[in-house]
Amino acid sequence: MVSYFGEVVHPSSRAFWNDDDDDEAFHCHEDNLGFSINWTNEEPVTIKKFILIEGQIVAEFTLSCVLKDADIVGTIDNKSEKPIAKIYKIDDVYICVIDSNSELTEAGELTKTLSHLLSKIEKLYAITADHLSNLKSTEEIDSESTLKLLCSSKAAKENNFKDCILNQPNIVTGLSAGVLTYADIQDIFCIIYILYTDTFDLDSKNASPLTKLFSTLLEKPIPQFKTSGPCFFNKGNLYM
Amino acid sequence: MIKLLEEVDLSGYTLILPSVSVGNVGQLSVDLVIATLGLKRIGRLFDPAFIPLVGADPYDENSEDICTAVDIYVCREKKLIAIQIRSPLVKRPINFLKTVSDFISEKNISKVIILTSSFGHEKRDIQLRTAPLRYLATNTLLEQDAKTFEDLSWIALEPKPIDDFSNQTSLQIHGGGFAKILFEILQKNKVPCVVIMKYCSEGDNIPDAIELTNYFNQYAKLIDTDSELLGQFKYPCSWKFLFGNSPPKEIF
Repeated sequence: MVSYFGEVVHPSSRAFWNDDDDDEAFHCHEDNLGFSINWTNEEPVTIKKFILIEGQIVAEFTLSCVLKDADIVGTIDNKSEKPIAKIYKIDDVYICVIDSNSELTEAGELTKTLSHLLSKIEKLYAITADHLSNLKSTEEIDSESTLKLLCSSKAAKENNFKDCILNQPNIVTGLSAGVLTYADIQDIFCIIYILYTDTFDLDSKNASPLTKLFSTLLEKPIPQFKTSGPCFFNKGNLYM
Repeated sequence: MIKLLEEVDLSGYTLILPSVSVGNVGQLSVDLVIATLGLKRIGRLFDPAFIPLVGADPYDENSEDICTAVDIYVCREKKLIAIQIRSPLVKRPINFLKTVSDFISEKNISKVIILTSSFGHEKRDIQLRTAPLRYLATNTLLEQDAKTFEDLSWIALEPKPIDDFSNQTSLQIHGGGFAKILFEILQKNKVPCVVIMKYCSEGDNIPDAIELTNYFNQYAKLIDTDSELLGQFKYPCSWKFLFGNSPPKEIF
């Protein structure tokens, strides 16, 4: 039963992240979230390739299939005890996995924190995921998953991506979007990949674009690719 | 942080920008102006107060350009600059408003038009009989354009009583986002500025955006009223699928 029976309930708007645009509503978000990047050894002077991983299924896939024995070289921390992101290193490639519990509202501030690091990167990639039902398109997609991309103007000049560019009106939000915005402003090479999958779990079929992408980015086959583990659908169909 | 692709002499230009407000009416209206007049992107603005957002070019399906949360467009012929916002605010936009007001001063922009909306339920009985559109102009703009507003029979935003007991009133745009704060900053800086707003409710707000664009065009005269273009605005391709994908074939 509704608790506001008899009360005047003012409508809210989709335009506002909070319920209202009143000044008080903005107070709930602190201006300085206190993010910092902490390196276990010295901070790298230049980074040839940096891959940002955002979103639960891509993060789980990366941790279990790509980063199994990789060393943590840095963390991104805030006021909470748990780091908001961990930075790993494989050969010359730095891979930053964002905690899947991080909030979308923090993405702008986090991008600002990362800006100093982003300016040292030669080639920046970000990988994120979404459900196929969120992809608005007239294109008929027969496969279990599809990989789309958006890139900075510097990356667009060097490559021809026309067929796999994410079409309008689809948008990407979050830290991936933040780093691409910053990269485009600062004329940095940046590509963000968005994996659209037909389920919320990965299986051998819908994960195949990811395995191919990681093999290309790391310039070697993924060493421990197995379709077992928490990020893969591994339940039987016989009983619930 | 503002980054322009090229240095453009913006002195004497009119800036239009939306305030993120009820039904995104201001943003939809700026989209209509950019698409109809074919404005070209000349820069971007990054501010952590907005949720970062990227997508393909909203106005040209064949372009490889991207759009972000805040982009800047220009039309040299009309001496028009537009700032488009595509993302909600998650923090107080203090830095954003300072960046915008500094940009206006540095570039000698001659006039600012802020497009916004307010909750329809805020209208009082007496206001129901009039058009659901209001304006609020700075003193510097009224010095030059007061007669124009009078000739157009525009109605200035009416002050509202603060409470039922005192006679005190204040100007409020409930649901209008940062429009009034930016207006006050520009009023203080003596920058000619007008806030143009529409009372509306949440839903399909394209008709509201068309009405607001038609209304402010009477004053700004950006779109030629002699041509048949008026009322036949070009919709940006980003407005496709506003109500989702087509139903799946399997359901038939």
